[in-house]
Amino acid sequence: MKEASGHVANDVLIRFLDEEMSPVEANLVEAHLTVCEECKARYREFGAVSVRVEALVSSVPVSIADGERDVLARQLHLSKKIKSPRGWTRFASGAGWSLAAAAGLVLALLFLPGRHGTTMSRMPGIIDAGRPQTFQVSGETFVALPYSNAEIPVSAPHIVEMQVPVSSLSEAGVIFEPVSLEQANPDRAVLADVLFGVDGEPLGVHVIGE
Amino acid sequence: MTRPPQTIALSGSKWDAGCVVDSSPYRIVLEFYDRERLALERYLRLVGVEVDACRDIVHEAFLKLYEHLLANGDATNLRAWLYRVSHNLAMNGRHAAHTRRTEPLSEAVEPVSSAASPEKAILEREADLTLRNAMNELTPNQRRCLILRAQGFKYRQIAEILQLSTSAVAETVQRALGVLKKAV
Repeated sequence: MKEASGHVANDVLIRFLDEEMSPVEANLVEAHLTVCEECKARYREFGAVSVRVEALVSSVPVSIADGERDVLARQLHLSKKIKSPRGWTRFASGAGWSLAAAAGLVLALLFLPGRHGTTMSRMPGIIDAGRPQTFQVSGETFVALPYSNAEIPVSAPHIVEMQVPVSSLSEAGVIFEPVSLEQANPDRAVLADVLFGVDGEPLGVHVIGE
Repeated sequence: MTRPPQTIALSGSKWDAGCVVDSSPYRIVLEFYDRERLALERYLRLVGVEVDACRDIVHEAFLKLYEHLLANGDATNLRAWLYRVSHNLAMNGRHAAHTRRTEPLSEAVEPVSSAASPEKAILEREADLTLRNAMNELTPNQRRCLILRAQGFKYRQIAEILQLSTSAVAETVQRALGVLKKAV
């Protein structure tokens, strides 16, 4: 613990300061500090620098507004509501996974109730046959969800990559039709970017792949 | 049969030491949000994340925390978990482009002075500037370790957040404090 000089090393003093040592070790350091002014001075210097760093860190201004909490609360509530038994499960981003999965995707997308419209981007094999209610945010095309509120501004949107059960999309009027029997599992999910409005409600969906 | 509420110990910080919360994941996340969002934003700002990206990362991290709890993930050290996820989002995710690798503490984090007089304010500002300059001389990991330490994390938690060994954290903290002590 002590150096050849008979003093306590800096790393030991700092671990003592941080309470990162055993009680036995701490007792030895404490006993030494009561008799060694040099080590005590270094200990105090480390303590003073630490306090200044703490003050610097806590003085950093923050920008998160109180309203952000409401947005989060609504999103959590929504997530809870639609999560079980056929909810939308957010998916931890993984480029490799999504690219590989997208490569194997063979799906057709139908919009209810009508059958006309424009082709969606980034979705191989898509047949857009429903309401042409799409909009662009940050260069990405989203299909408006039926519970979207047109009054909600999307100037600061939250786009979240999620695993969305096809059944949930069906309930929202966005229907996937399997091209092959392998895709016919009603419990399957697709990877999609979901756009949330400032109120935490989903405004639109952009299917990326499966 | 109704499931019993989850019991989760919010361990490892100044505010939550020994505190046990008996609640749903929904309430736990919001409680965490109330307690941690400002400190988490400060950490992100100090490691070089732009303001707007900070907001997004904090938001996304809390959503991930909710999923983690719903999936019955390890709840023994949620605070460190939250910081680790946020740190990874800042450094590796789609927000990485909004994170400066050099992480200067200059204009990005202008502190609010609490000095009573103009003279004291000037002295405080000079001392603060010296400390900032010294902090900017540290390596990114030295700075991160010191910031997390200043926010009340223990070495093993810092190690978990930054994915280092505990001994590496101890050594990094020691070197960083040595540099600052000389400079100020």
